[in-house]
Amino acid sequence: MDAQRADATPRNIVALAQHALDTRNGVGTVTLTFRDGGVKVGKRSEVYGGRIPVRDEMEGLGQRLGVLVHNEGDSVGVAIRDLEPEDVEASWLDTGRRQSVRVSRSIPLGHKVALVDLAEDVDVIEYGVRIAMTRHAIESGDWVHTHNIRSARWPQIA
Amino acid sequence: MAADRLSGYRRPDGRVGIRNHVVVLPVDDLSNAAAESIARIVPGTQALPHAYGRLQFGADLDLTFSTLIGTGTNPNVAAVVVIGIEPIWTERVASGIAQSGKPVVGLSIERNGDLRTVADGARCAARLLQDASMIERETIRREEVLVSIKCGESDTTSGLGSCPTTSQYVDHHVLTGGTVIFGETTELTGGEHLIAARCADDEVRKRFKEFYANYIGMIERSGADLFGSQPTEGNIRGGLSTIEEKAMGNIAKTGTVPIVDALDPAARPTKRGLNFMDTSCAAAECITLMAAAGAVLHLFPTGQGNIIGNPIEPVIKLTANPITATTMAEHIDLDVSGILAGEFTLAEAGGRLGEIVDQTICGRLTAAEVLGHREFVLTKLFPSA
Repeated sequence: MDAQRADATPRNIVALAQHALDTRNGVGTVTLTFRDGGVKVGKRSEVYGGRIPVRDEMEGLGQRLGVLVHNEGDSVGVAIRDLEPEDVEASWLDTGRRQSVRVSRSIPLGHKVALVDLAEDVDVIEYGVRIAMTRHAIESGDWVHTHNIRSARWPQIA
Repeated sequence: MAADRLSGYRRPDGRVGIRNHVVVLPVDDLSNAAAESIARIVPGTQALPHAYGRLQFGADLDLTFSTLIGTGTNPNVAAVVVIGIEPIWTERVASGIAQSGKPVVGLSIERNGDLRTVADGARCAARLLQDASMIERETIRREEVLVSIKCGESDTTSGLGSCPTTSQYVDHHVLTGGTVIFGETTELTGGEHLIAARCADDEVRKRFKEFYANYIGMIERSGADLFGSQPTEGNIRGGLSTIEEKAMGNIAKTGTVPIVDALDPAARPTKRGLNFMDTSCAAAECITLMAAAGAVLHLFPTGQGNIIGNPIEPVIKLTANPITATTMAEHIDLDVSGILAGEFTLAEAGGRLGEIVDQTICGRLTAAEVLGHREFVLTKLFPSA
C-alpha cells in the first residue's frame, strides 16, 4: 500500500470510491483520485489519515453527486436521489472516476439512467455483466427500467 | 469488530446458541391448536404453528422431517415439547431432536384428545422452561456462531449499500474461522457463473450447478409466467428491472471468500467457511431452512423494507434506502444509507454491523424480535398425496 499523501485533504481529492468486492485491492479499500491526476489505493487510514470526507466537503468539489456506477464499462448508473432533467455528477465505484451526466427526464431514487446511447436489442451492462437486453433504442440520459429493457435469461417475463 | 467478550449458550452437542428458547413444536397442522394453547398457558415458551405434515411423501416428507428436527436441535433452542396427531411421526421428530442431547418431550393427540394433551404438555413445558432459565450464558468464540444471510424486497440500494455492508461481515466472519450460509438458488440467475467460479473444488461446483439447473428446470417446466414474481413488484418499484440485475445485488452480499460446500435444504454445514444452500428466495421459507441447518444469527439486507423475523433465529435487518430507513425505522436495525450519501465508507458500515452483531449475540433484541416477527414457513417440494 502507498504511504499517506500529505496533501490528502478534501480540497485536493476529486473522487473517492470504496470497494466491497474488489479482489485485487482487498475488502475495505478505498481509491482516492487527486486534483493533479494522482490516484492512491489503500486502506482508508493509509490514504486519507483515517478521516471520512463528509458530504458537504465532497459536494463543494463540483456538481452534486447524483449517480453511482458499479463498474467502468457499465451502460447504466443508479440515481442516489430523485433526479430532475439536469447535469449531475456520476461516480464509478471501481475506479473512483467522476464525470458529469446529462439527465434528460425525472428519475426516482434507485432507478437507472443510461450512460450511453443504446441501440435496440443490445446488452445492458451493470456490475460489469449483462443484466438485460434493450426493448428499443435508449438515449443517454434517459430513464432505464422495465418499459425499455427486459431479462435476457427469463424472456417469458413480459 | 471484536467485542471483549461474547456470550452464548453451549448446548450438550457442543454447538453454541445466542438465545434460550423453549419451543412447542407441532408435527402437523392438526396439532397447531394444542401447541398454541400450551404456549398461552406457559408464556415464555413459543409455539411454531405451520401448515403441513400430513400425507406428505418422499423427498417432500423428508424435508419436513429434517426441517422440524433441525429447528428443534437449533442451538438457540434449549428444550422442546413436540405435539403430533399420532404417535409414530411424533416419536420420529422427538427422537430426532433428542439426539442433540437436549430435553425433549413428545405427546400425541390420538386416544388423548386436545385437552389432556394440552394439560400434559403445559406441565412439561413449565418444567422445561424453569430448567432452561437456569442455563447460564458463558464465554463463546465468534467463530462458533453460525451465521446465515439472505436479502429481501431488494432494490438498487441493496447492491450499492446494504449487501456490500453484509459482504464486509461475511468476509470477516469466514476469515476468522466462522461459517456462513447463503442460498436463494433462482436469484443467482445472471450471476450463477460467478458463484460457480468461486466454488472451492470441482465436486462442490458440480453440486452447485446441479442444484441450480434443477431449480430453473422446475420453473421452466411449469410454464408459468413469472412476471411480478421475480423481480417482485416491490423490487421493480425500487428500480430493479430484471432477475439478472437483482441477482448481482444479491451476490454482492456473499463476500469474496471461496464457497466450500453446496448443501441440501436444511442440511447442517460440515465445512467451515461460506456454504451455499439450495433454497427458495422467499424470505420466511429460506430463513426457516437456514435455522433448521443450525444457523443462530441472520443478516438481512433490504431495500424496500421486508419486515421478516424468525421465531428462533434473530434476524438483523439493514438498509441503504433512505426512504425505507425513515418510513420503516422500527424494522431496521442498521441504517447504512449514509454510504450512498458519501457520509461514511463501506468499511465503517461493516464495522457498525459488526457492533450490532456482537450486541445481538450477547442478547440485545433485534427489531424483528421486539415487534414479534416470528415467520416460520416450511418449504413444500410438491403436493401431498
